[in-house]
Amino acid sequence: MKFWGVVIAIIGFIVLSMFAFMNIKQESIKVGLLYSQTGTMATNEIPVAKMFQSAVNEINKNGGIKNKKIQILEFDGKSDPNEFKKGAQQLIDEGAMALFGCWTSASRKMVKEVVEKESNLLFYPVQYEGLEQSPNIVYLGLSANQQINPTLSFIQEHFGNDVYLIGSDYIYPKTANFYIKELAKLTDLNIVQERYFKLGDMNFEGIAQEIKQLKPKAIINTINGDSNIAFFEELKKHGITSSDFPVFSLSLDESSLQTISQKIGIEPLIGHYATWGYFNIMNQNKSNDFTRLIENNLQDQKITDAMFSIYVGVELFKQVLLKSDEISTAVLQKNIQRASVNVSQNIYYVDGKNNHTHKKVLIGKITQNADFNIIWESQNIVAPRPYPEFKSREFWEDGLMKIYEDFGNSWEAK
Amino acid sequence: MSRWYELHIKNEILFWFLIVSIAPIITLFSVNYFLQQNQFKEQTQEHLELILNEKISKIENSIESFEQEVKLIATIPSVAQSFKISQENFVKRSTPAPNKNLDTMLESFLNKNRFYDIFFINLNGDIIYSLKKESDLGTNLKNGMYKDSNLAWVFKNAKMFLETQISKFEFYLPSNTHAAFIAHPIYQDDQILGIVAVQLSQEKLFEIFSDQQGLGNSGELFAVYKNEQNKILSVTPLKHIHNSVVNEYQFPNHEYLSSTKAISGMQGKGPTKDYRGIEVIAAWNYIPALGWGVVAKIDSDEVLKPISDLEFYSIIVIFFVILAIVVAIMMATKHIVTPIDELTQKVKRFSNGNLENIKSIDSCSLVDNEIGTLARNFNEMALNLKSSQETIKKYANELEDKVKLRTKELEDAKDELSITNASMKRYLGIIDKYVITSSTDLSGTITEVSSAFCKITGYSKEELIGKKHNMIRHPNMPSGIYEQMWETIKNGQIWSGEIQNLKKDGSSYWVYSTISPTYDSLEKKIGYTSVRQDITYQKLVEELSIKDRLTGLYNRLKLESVFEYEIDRAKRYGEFFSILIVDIDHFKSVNDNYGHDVGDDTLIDFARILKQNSRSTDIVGRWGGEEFLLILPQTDLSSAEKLAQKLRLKVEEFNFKVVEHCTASFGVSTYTNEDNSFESIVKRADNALYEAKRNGRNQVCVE
Repeated sequence: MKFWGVVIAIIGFIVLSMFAFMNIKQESIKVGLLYSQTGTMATNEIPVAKMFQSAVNEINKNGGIKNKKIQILEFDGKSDPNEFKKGAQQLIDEGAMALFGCWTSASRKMVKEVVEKESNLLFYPVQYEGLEQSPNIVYLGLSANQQINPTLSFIQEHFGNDVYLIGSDYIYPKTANFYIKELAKLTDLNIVQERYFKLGDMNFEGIAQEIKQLKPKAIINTINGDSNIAFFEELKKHGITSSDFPVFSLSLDESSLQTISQKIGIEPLIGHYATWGYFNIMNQNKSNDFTRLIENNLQDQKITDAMFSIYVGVELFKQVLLKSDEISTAVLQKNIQRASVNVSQNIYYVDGKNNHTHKKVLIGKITQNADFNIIWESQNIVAPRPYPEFKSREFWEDGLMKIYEDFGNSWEAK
Repeated sequence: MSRWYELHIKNEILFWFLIVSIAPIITLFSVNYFLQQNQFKEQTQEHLELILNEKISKIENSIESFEQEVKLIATIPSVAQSFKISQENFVKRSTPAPNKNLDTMLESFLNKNRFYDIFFINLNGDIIYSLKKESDLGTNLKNGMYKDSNLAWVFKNAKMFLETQISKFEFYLPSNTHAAFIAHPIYQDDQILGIVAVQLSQEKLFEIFSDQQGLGNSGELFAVYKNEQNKILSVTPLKHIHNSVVNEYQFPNHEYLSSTKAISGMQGKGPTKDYRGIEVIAAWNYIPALGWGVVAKIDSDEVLKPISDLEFYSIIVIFFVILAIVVAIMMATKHIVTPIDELTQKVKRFSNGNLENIKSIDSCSLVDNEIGTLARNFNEMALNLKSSQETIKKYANELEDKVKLRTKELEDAKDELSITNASMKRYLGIIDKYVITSSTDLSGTITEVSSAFCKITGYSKEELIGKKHNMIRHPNMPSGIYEQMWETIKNGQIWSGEIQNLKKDGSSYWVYSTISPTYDSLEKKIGYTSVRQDITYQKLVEELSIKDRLTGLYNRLKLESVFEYEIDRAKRYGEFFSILIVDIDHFKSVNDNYGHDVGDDTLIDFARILKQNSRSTDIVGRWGGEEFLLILPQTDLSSAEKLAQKLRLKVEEFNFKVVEHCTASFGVSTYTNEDNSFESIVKRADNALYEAKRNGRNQVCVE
């Protein structure tokens, strides 16, 4: 007995000395989730937040990152850019090493100020107008060139050069169309008309008439939110179908299709187009970590481009922390550049210079099931260019500033 | 009972010391070794990552500089002018027109940058100019034979995005080699004219990878790409594949390979296997612009060489440390154990009783520790033991002499004793044979009997020993005698008296017995011993002298002596007695009618009636002829008369053998103080008998 006692003591000593070399400190990794739980943007932002939470829970379920759990700190931006600014500050003060969220460009612009001041990092999941580049933001959505150039190219190749621009009166449509107009100047693209409506405006009377009159080859739609209902209803009212005038929407995803079709049916939407980096249809008939995640957590939910983008954001975040020696915002910010992940056989790569994501671009055609059928996809992943090369950065920034000023020094039309 | 770990003290000390000293050394060494190894691996990974990132930066910068060159040439107004002319010529003639001046200008541009070729492509996709003028010149990239080439791709994208594009690195049929293309839109008056593209040769790209500094002997940096058949192929030559023709080496498509990871768009670092299946430490990344996976790696063996060396030297050091410890422990153990061993052997010899060869323990008695003290004490003890032993020896010799003397005396005594014993045995034999003795314990159980006793009783020794002594008790003996006897001997006194005993065959014998208590050596009473004398014959003679031959009753002589005795008692103690004289009626006619034999039988029967119906203390005797006399001690006249009446009735009722009926007459008298002679008492009884006879016989008359 004495003998075994000594043997056990020796083994105990060895095990204890092993433990002494192990880091038994167990701190969690805090990340901020900044989204509108309330207000007009909530319907868009809640599914994105849900996707984020599911992805994080999945990581935690599998042991976290380097044995550390991810802790989500949440803040309700209430669809108000000023609240977003406040929230970003609060979450960073609470110790969030990175923020995930924002939808509207206005809220992003506000949060940008905070993350730049605090040297934090925002993972922004939405496609946007471009003409912005911050070392403190990872742009996960499509930039203007990634979305607009293939769309125009597709239109010109299949329909013709005359396009009709219609959008909501706020930063994204204005800037996108500013870019389109600059492209048009260099190429044989011809803009027949440019129309803006206030956010939430439901009166599109006369538009169908004008379209019929101008006979564009395609309509480029940057209308946001419920106004789309009124717009497509107007087209329907006047018997305009996709074969008459195809509409290429730049901010109409699967969840918008659902909302609109609930109001006016899917019929007026069928055959129109949208350009995204991800379509819900892509997760069908596949089995991988991502599809299992949505199957387990987001059933009956169509996966939109923004939702997928935030998932890619979480995967990149995990990937970078896994390969970094230190878990800190500075290291994350440095190593997120050139970081890449492979989801469902597609590569998502963060540019080493502009922090935007290289990815495939796809054009989808609306189907009976309020889904998109992919009719075109880029052969390779498309490089993001927040400041398209054919004009100088100053040129673009001046143009953007002009829009800002036109809104009365605001990112939103007053 | 010896298990493997219950070792000799020397080994035990060695064992525990080794464990206690070596376990921490090995533990610390192992921990340190693994930490070092990890640190080395991590350092290498970081190092590789750094190199890889540098390389990627370099590649990106190179691409960027290529792009800048292309952009530069595209923005030269004369080039735009040449483009326009080429386009116009192409439109006119539907084939590219030679342009010597342009050739010269672009050739110097190509040579300067070491590009392979340069193309002008109009917006329709027609290759309207190329310097090399290979088979691609004049074809259409939208629907011509090279519409799927990477040149077509780069044209479409440059046109689509209106900016510089670089294609992947693929086999390009017109040049019959691998090539990549960089394209840029060409403008005039803010209107796009078309696309300028340059062709990059394979060698141009190898340059980037030629610098393999910081990757050691086994390390390398290489790039892979995925072809249309999803095969992973090398872009650059591989160090470990001899004469590897670029773009032909196909990598295994295992998920764990860094090449596979890199080409599938992942980045990372860590230990993995390379295409040879050898353990390497690698960093990998993806270059989206070229669609390349880039890997920097070094063989694990090389990385861990310093650790292996460290391991080797550490093992040597540990070996010597352990050796030193073992030697030190062995010396220490020897120092401790040798005296203990010596002591043990001495003690062993001690325990064997070998005191002769005791020598003091010298090896350690001078050492000033517990063992030294023990040794010194042991030496002292040994000396003391030795002197004690000598004293004991002296005493032992004296004792031996005394014992010899005593032995002789004892032998003499023994001789004497054996003679005595022999005679004693003889006497005992005689006693046993002739003296009737028996011994019992305190409760009367027979413990010992003599042969003479056995002979007289008819029992064997075995039958007697263990039985109660009263088994030979005769029923005739009154119990009073025994009560008196037990009372006497229980008080420790000697009892003696005549006792009639029973033989085995039921007959009896008489002894004169003397019973005395016996004691053990501690004077404790353990039982009783009786010594007997056979007096059966005496008793027989005695009986014959006092009894009537025919009837067995007392004769006249005995009656007279009893009379004397009773008269004496009456005189001395004032006790009285009575007598009966009985006479059978008409006995003379019985004799006459039936003869003397019948008369005798009648007398015998009559005597039995008297004997049986009188009290045991009464003395019944034949007085003569047909006359009987009974002496009744302590009986007054009326009691005597009652007895007489009872006897008379018994006789009258008795059915005699032949005569059948018979009666008797009774005369009763008693002792009085006035008339106290024998003769007068009998006379008075006779008178009363006469009275009875006279009154008609068969009756009792009292004086």
